[in-house]
Amino acid sequence: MNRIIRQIKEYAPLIKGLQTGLLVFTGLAGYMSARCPVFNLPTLAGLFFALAASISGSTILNMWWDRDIDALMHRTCNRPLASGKIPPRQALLVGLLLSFLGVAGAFLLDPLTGLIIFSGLFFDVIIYTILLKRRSCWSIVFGGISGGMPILAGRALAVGRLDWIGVLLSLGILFWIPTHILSFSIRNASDYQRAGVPTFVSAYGIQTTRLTIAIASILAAIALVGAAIGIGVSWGYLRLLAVLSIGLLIYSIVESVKPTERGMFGLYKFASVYMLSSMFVLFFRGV
Amino acid sequence: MPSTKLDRILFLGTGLLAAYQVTTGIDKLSPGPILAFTIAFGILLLTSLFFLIFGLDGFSSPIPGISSTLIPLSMGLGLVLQHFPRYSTLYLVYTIVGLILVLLTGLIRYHRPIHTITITVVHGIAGLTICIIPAAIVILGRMQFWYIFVAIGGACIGLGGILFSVFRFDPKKLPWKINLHFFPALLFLMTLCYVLGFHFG
Repeated sequence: MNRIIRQIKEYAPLIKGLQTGLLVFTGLAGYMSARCPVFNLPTLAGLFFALAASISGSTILNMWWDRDIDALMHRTCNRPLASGKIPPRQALLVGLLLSFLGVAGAFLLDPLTGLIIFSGLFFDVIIYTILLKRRSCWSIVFGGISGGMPILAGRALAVGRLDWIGVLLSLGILFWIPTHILSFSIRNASDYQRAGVPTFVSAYGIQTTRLTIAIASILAAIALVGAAIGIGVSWGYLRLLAVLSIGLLIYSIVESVKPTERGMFGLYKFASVYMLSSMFVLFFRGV
Repeated sequence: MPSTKLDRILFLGTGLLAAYQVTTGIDKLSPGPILAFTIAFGILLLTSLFFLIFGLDGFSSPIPGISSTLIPLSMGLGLVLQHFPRYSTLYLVYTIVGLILVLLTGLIRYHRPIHTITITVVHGIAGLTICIIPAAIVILGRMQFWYIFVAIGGACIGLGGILFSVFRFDPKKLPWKINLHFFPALLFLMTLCYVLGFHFG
């Protein structure tokens, strides 16, 4: 028993709990945004399982593939695979198993949802991690597309088809991801350089990266507010979303005009809070 | 200065209360007051998030100064629009002029006392408006007794404004640690009073 608990503890950092949790929550919020009967617990629980398993699985596969560059970066060198705490073969098996269970569970729920979740996994593991991450700084676009899949899957499960609101929600996540990742890559630029991972900062300079963050924040806010209007979110929740979106816009613009290292890290954190809050708005709007 | 767990809990509580107020607490009002109160509570929400992220070190940035001006101004404007619409144009002019003065004096780098005095005056008048209007309305019997909590919130923001001004003007007059840790509690208490006043009043 102790061995199992120890193994779970060792695997916990591999699934990036906060990031996975946030992505799972976007999927649940996408589902709830359609004013589904909230007490349809089996479907909601099924979606939770499918998303949690597939996102955890893809994150483990991501770390399995990147363990060599993780070992070169200060920020990631203590990760279980990079530091050798977990054998790579074992992690690969767990990652594949979780991914399979997640996608299979999603297909059992609804074929369209399964297809979307599978696409997310494919974009994240194959296109983003294996094919592009070490070659092009534009890989984050594909990382963004895969990040937008959980919310699209949740929405599609609820309405039974792909609709423009689902696409807009997905775009909201896609545009939010540069704010999140680029502000992080500015802070850890030397780490990425050491590992030879191309980033926007190394390719286009810090000014262009900051401008990209500001533009992406504006587009993310427009997409999420547009989707919220389309969903028919009440005025109260719309006001809250508007306040948070304006906050994100002002913060991004200030950081583009008068950047500081501390401010950039603050923006990275604020972008996470913004996304979590937006998802709460969509989730509780459906209750 | 790092913030304590209690500071962070208080900032989180302030943010949640402000979010509640923006979402549902002002729904029954007419569009003018809704807009003014949304600005007030929206800035309160963003400010609490700012302090959650940066901790008490955030006090060294210009954000607290801007927030401590905008919150009472928009709150006062909302109350005037709601209860004394006849004076709304006059108060709107005061709000705009006050804000411009605070921003302009903030640009004069080597005359910080002028900026601090301007903030104190503008903030003080707005704070008095927030204190007097709800109290008068309750005395006149136009709102229930609970609405007096809005006045208490006004007193809190007034107290906070004075402390903040003294803190900026001459920090040696106040013990640094006590002062800074005092703000999260005051911010939370102020927001709680507003929410109670608006909800039950």
